[in-house]
Amino acid sequence: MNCLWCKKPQKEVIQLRTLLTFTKIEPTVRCDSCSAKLVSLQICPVCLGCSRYWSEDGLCPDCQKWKADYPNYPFKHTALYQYNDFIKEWIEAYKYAGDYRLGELYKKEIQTFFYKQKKLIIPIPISYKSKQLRGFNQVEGLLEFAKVKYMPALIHCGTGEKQSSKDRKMRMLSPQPFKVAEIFQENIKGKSIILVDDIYTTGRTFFHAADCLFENGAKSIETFSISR
Amino acid sequence: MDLFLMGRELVQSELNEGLPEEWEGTSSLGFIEIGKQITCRRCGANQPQDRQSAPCNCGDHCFYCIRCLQMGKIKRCSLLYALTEKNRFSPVKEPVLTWQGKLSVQQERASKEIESTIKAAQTRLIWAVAGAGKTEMLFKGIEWALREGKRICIASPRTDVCLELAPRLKSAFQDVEQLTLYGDMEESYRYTQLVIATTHQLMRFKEAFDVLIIDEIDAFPFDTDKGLQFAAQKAKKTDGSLIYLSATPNKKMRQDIAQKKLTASILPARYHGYALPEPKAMWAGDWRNAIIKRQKKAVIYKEINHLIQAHRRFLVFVPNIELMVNFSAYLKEIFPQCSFTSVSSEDEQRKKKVESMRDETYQFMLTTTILERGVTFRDIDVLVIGAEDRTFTEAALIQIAGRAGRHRDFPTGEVLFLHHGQTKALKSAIRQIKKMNRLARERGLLINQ
Repeated sequence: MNCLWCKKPQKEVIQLRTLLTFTKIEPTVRCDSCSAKLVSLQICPVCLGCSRYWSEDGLCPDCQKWKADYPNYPFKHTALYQYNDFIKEWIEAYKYAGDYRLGELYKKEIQTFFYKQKKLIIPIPISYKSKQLRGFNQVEGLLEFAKVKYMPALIHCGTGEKQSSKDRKMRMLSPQPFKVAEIFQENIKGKSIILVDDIYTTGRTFFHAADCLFENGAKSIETFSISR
Repeated sequence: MDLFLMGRELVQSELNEGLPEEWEGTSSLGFIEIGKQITCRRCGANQPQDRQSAPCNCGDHCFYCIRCLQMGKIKRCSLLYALTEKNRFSPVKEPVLTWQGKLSVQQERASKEIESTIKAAQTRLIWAVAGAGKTEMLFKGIEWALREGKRICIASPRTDVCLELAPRLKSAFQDVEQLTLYGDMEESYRYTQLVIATTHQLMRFKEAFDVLIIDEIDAFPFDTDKGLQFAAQKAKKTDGSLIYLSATPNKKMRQDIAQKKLTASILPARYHGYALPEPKAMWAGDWRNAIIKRQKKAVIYKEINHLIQAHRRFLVFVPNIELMVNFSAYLKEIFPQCSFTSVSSEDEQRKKKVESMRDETYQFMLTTTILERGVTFRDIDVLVIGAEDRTFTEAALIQIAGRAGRHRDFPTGEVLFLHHGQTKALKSAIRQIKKMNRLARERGLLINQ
């Protein structure tokens, strides 16, 4: 199999153990040299609130600011990788250029995280405008490839101004864009939920979404993103 | 808007304004579907593995072309807008050709052949050795076409070739509007009679050019990319003329010439009239081991030392980047007094380093096949390490050998292929260079015989 990202052919090493135990052999998606460009946030000390690299105790300064406004928010976020040039290029190709295949790039990690997950998984929705432009929701794409069952309970009713084209101050001021779809309103009540997005930047999106879900009776919320 | 789209085929997002209300062009779906055969309208990809299905607003069964994705996504439900080329150019100012130079005897002959090919709307290959002076031979034919109000495109698979061609054409046709199209160009598109473009950019044209000239036809990725070849055919008018330029046409083309399926002009001599430097093959033992295990006494180091002692400036070609980095580190240790650098496709300072090599800041330079063509240094020797490696194809070796002795004042240079067992490619590269020299001699094109 060729690497999904760099397209170079990669060698598959099949271990005797896998053969003898009849384990299903899944082709690796990324080659080693592409994986080496990713900085994992699973093996270093991170801030519990946003999963960024943070070696001190407690929440990072950004999360403390959030805590002032959201004293009851649980602050539990998991991100897979640090935001860097590799992630940037991937987002560029997957989300903006629309190469749907690239949603498979983190399949294994997503599967591991959501393995036997009982909580309700809800992806962050995209605006009507973005949907028209891209044709797919990039977060749902990630979950589809990983075969993770999710509930598209949130809908985006904002104008669809791209968050990535705003600076921090502007992003913090953006109004609540989400609401819970009527048909799913009953499903939310009293549930533990995992919210999923592609990238955690300021946290604004997640807090808006969490706000909206708590208002509709969600019991607890934690969040997950590919990158931070 | 009319002129913006004329001769082109674009998706919605590439139209900088919306479509005008009155509009005489056509719009068609992204893929041509005839029975089970599905073909991308822009790049001609028609295999099932060339398409990726993906959720889309249009419904359930949408897919997009992954072959030409880098030019922007084309979905099954995309619309492509096209407008027939009508050659809306104002007459060119005389004199059209402002170039004052003089052609050599063989250039003169090829120039005439090119002109008549263009006039007769035919196809021709110009097989000219590295340093024959291909660009100048095109001028007469282009001049005629410009005067006739025809639209002309000079394309190449390589951006650096396009960027080098553009100023030369600008000075040859000073009063003619021209535009250079390539991947990350800053200028925006405008309608011009003379277009210089990478072969990728040809995908955005449809039956636009009366004359299409493709330089370095055998260069990567055009040689293997069917999409680009499709795009080139599509960009040309059906009754247009096609000129291929190459120093190393592939086997298929050489066969076509032999079978008279393809008309060709063969130019075996360089513009300065000196023979091509003939490469020498030299056995270098296990050169890979010599790099990895730092064997200072190995042939490769001896040869480099030899050139350094002789105060020569030279290029060292290495099969791949990892080896190059490793090799470069050791060379720094054993030749600390020497100024040199290494350059590869992954090097962001590539352009700057090549410039410095040209200014003679460095004595030598390590490189991969990235510098095999398109670059000229004044007075250099060439060393290929591991010439039997599969990255060094016959064409690559001929091109590499062609880096030496390009300048009129320094028409000679040493070319050495260091190998660990000769390959077919290596032998036939040397054979072909010798054959060209023999041909040049027979035709009386060399001045030093």
